[in-house]
Amino acid sequence: MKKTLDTNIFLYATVSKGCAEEVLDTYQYNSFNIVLRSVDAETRPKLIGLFTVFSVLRDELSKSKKHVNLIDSDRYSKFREDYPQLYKAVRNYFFKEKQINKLINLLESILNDIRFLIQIISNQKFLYPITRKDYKRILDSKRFRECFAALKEIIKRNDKDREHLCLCKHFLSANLKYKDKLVFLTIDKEDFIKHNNKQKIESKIKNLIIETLPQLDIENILL
Amino acid sequence: MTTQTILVYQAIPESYKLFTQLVHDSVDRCYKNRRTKKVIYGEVIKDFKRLIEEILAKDKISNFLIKEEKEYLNFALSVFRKSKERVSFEDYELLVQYSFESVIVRLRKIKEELIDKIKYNKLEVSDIDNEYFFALENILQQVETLDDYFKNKNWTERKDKNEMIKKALLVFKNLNELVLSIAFKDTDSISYISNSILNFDNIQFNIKNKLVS
Repeated sequence: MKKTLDTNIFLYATVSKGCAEEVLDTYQYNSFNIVLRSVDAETRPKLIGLFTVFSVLRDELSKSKKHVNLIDSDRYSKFREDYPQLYKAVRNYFFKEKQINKLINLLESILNDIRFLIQIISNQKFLYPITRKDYKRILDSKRFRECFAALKEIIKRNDKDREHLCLCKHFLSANLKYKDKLVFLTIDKEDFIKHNNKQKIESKIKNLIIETLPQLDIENILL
Repeated sequence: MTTQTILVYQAIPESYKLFTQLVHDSVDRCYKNRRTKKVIYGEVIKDFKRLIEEILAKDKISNFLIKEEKEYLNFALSVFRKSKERVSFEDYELLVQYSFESVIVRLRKIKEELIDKIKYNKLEVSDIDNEYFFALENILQQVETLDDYFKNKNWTERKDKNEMIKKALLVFKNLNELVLSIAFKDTDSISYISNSILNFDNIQFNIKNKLVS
């Protein structure tokens, strides 16, 4: 499977500490690895494409009792080819979870997260909403430090999924409505190391930091 | 961007754009006189009557209208026939209500047909269809949110009533723009419409609770 920054959509999370723990749990038990990567506007068509896939799946789930057969059907072959890891993660979850309602709830959550991500990446004002002073206040806050520590812990303990290098990109909405949320940015580690993209990726990260989080110290993030 | 057929256009009849245009013009372009409490349409009422008659005549041949659209047209025709240039605010409210209902039912129908076509195509759809599907899902979710909101409000309270009308008209504006975009095959506008649906300030999705699942 080809893995590049553009084709490999893995990890998304708008995360509070509680959600960070859930993500950690996900990695440890490898059961619910619904992860997308969130970057910028270029991701929009992919997110919207995934939105269609998950919506259709939700629609079919509400009419079908054989949910594993459903996702194994030929209809989802494109999803399987385009996003094999996502497909596998969804299938695993379907296999383990027998209650249709829970599966529908899961898909609803994913759909809402995608909505949220699209809202963020489609609106620059929303993406870079606050002043440096606000950033500093948030960076110094207890909540932020806890979230960040939780995320670092996830990255550190992420033994089962070494393909990912995670970096956290933090942002807050204009009215601090989502001040407990963080957005993950994932970069494919293999790509990072093997394809001499290190410089490119580093510059991308640094630009991101300049624009969004001047004080985030990427050097301290464990690879 | 793929060069696939755009499925959403197959889910809407060609003549439907006349209806959409009528709904758009009859609801959006009005002016309320504060003293007489009447909505002033002016000379354009004659055009509306002519347009309604034209749509109904086309429907007799191709039968493209759904029940709610016919109800809207019949009501609108009766209102415009009895008025020269202005319409009472009560009639205008009913006109909005009828058109709102007809547009929602049509959008649900388009969404259902689009889902069927997407399934038939094994999820291989164009970016444009994905955009439309995204907008359709969101606007319909917004309508449901609005519906829940209305249940907790009191129409007899003036403050509540004004707020509800304002929200309904804002949602209606998005609904209508979406239908217009489909009917007129205006693909350039779709991402803008999607964004404006998502960024609708007055009715936020309950993201916070749903995110942390």
